[in-house]
Amino acid sequence: MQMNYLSTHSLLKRRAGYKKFLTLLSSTLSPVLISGLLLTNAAKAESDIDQDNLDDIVYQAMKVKPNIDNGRNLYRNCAVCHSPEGWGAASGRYPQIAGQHISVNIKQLRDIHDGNRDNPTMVPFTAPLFVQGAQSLADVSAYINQLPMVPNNSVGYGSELAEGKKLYDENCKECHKANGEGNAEKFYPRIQGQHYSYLVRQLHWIKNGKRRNADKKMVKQLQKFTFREIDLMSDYVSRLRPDKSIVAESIYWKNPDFRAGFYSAPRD
Amino acid sequence: MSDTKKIAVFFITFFMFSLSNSVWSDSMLDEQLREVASGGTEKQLNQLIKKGANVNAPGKYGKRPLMYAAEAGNIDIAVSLLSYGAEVNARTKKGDTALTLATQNGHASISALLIEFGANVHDRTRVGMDSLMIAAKSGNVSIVEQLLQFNADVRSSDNLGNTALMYAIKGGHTKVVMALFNNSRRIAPCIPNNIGVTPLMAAINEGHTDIINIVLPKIKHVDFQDNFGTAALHYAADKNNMEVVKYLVEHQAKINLEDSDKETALFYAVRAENVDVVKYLLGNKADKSLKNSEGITAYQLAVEKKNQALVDLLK
Repeated sequence: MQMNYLSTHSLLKRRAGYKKFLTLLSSTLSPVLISGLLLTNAAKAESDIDQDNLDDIVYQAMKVKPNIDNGRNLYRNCAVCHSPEGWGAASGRYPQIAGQHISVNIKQLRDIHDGNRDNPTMVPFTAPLFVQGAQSLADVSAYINQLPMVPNNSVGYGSELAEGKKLYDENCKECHKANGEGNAEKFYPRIQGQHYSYLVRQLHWIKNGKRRNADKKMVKQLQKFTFREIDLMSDYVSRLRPDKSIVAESIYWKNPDFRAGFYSAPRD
Repeated sequence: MSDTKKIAVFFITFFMFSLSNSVWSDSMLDEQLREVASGGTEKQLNQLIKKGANVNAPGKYGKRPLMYAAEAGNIDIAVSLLSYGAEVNARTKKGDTALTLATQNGHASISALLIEFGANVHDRTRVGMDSLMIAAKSGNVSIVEQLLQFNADVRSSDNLGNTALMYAIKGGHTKVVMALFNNSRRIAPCIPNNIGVTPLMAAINEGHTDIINIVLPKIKHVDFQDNFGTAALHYAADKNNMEVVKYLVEHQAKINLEDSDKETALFYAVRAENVDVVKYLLGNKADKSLKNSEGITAYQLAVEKKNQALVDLLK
């Protein structure tokens, strides 16, 4: 399965060049020929649906040098739900965001802000970031990225892991990589070590169209999956271990940027 | 006074004095905290809490620091108070909560925060309004969506029987009406308020065409009458809304349905001098011989109005 949340930056550039080429052609060739070319283009680009909707701000944010200190201040409002450590909730109510790729964080913030994901309680918190601009987006995303991941995320029942692996290898591996580390350059999120219930919920939401920032091809592929298959795949993914260098040393690790006893939203 | 009594009085006075002093100093800190919560900075708040101010200390009428922050829309202070464990569902004597106050003042980020911290979305004020009704009344789509995501009850009504849908309609907030229909399967577009007015009647009365277009196709009982016997057709005839009159007649609304004064839609159209509606109703078998409770026909009413076009139609 091609889990294209987005296509690459280079692909975007290639498409922009292709459009220019078509514009040039339009002055010389007949409209019939042009429409034929456009149709072919549309068919080819079926899996690249989101790229045209991407704002420049996403790419601007990826280009600027992040300021972690500012990110720390901005993250304070995020911490009340995602926890100071960014580990989310084992119940799956909040995802683990610690260690997520900067590009993915920026892109997801954009999607939530634009209403491509149903998250009405997070929308008001994304708005100030977009008002402040690309630098703030980059800062908070980079701060989240450098947080160590939770060593004991919640996992599924552990039955039929072999089938879960088979499903993952056949459908997800191509984009999310063998160990679920994703691809920062291509906006494919890190899914290894994510909470099991969160994975199940998101896959169902992508399948039934509630989460609208997944590409059409991924939605189409997921629609073939049964509840059981989604469960098995999520179970397998939740058990993929991130590299030790990006995982916290202990489950008792506390984010030193926050005072002891910092309450966050209920976890269940 | 004996010596024993004197000693006793001295100790009691000393004890009372020391107690009142500590209570007084604490209440001063708490008072300052409430002021800071309303318009101060996070740094000031942290200093006061370190000195021993109580994050949950209620002020006059039971209003707490978190409520002040929610009312003022101070997100940094609200985050701080919650991170110190401020109580989310405390209520004032009037029945307000931090959530209802944030909603009333349109602070979507604070309402989101409170909802995530477990604020009760069903809490009502003394007049029976919950946060959903308040948000619908003020036309705040983002708060409405937040509340619906966390299972706010779209069918609940206040002391007057008005639901969130009714408030959105009265305020002419089309986006809120759309959000209510899009985000909840439980929404009931036919539920009347305490005087029997349905959302459709309210929409016709207010003349919001966009909202009428959303609500009208969802109506099942076209002849529903309010407490005065007035049906949607009466409202449409009165407001000269030809589109709705046609829709209702085409959907088998009783054209000669009488209200409590025995007046049909024809009377309403004549009284409002809506010639086109009168013409349409007459063309669809409206009975012009019917008399109202005062014994007057539609024709006599037209004569009273001195409207020659209507007189000619009703002759």
